[in-house]
Amino acid sequence: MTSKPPVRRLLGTESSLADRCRVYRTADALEVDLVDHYDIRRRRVFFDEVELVTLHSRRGLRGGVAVFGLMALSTGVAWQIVRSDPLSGAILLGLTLGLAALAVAAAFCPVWIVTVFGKRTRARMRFNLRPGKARSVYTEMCAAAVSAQEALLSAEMAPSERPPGLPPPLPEPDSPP
Amino acid sequence: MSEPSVPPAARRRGGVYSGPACPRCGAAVDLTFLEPGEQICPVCLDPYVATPFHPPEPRRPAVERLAEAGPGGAVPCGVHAGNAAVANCSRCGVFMCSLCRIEIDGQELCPSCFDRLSSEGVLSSARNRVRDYRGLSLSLGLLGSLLCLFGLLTGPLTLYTVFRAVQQKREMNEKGGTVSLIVAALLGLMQIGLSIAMIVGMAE
Repeated sequence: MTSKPPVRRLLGTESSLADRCRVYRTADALEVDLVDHYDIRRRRVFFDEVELVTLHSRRGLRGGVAVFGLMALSTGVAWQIVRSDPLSGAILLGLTLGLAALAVAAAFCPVWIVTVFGKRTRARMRFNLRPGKARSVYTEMCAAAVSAQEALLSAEMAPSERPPGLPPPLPEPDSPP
Repeated sequence: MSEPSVPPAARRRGGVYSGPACPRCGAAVDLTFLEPGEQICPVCLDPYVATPFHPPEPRRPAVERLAEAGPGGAVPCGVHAGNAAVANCSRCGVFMCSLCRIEIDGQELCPSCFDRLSSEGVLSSARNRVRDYRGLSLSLGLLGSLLCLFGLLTGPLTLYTVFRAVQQKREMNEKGGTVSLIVAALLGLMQIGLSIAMIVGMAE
């Protein structure tokens, strides 16, 4: 006695050193899959319970610091190896410089974050170097919340208590909030 | 009695959820006067774009009393004898009033059938804990590739987890995520091939 569940589409992820989250969209909710070792704990933010949708950007300083730490460690090892074996040391030093470039890029590249706050839980998605995608997800979430809440209202409540319409247009992509 | 304050760091970690907050610092946001558009957090003074909503409270279902339904007009609910039944359970067929009826995955279930099916994991919409076979297959694929000596053990295991991940993907009706499964399957096959080549090489 099983029925086919609604289609799930991966919208975004949120990963840190400790946690990994994947956020999927279904017909009536966002499903937040929190990966705990090899188990997935699932929470849902229903569109008819959404209270706030936000979009902001920030620099990926934390990732940059983590990679910089690795780079410093690698430099120390490379320096010791250069003394005994110049070729291997040079290769390791090249890798270290690559990591350094990565650290600088990670520290200065903006990360765009969309957060959907529900009544009982929230979903957060990060988009590295993809402001257009973050904006489209933000708009999609607002539209989904509006349509779900309007549907609930029209089914249950008077028209005077309707939620606000679609969000105002977003600022230009060149001026991150 | 005032509510206990939640430190912003705890909010950010996701351990405690206490409603809408500034996405940067975690300070609580009052939605009453929030207008859609650009906002400045009064605590951290950083900007963000926000759209507030005022979701309606779902109305409780109207329960029809058996006495109000008139003679011969209704059947009593199997649990609440005073309430008129509005549906049959899709699984056991018991009469249910609107208090007992649970609509999920296209079925109408009574509370006891819902409890049973959700504890068995049959209702996909009620499932909150699942095994991450995709992550498991990728980890096994990568780990097994490093330990080629055990490829005849880890290779089939990788392929098995890929198979389970594909099954799970179909069950959840999930779109995307195929590339990682193909990579894991190729790694599993490579492990088996390398192990066989090593064994043949040693035999010769």
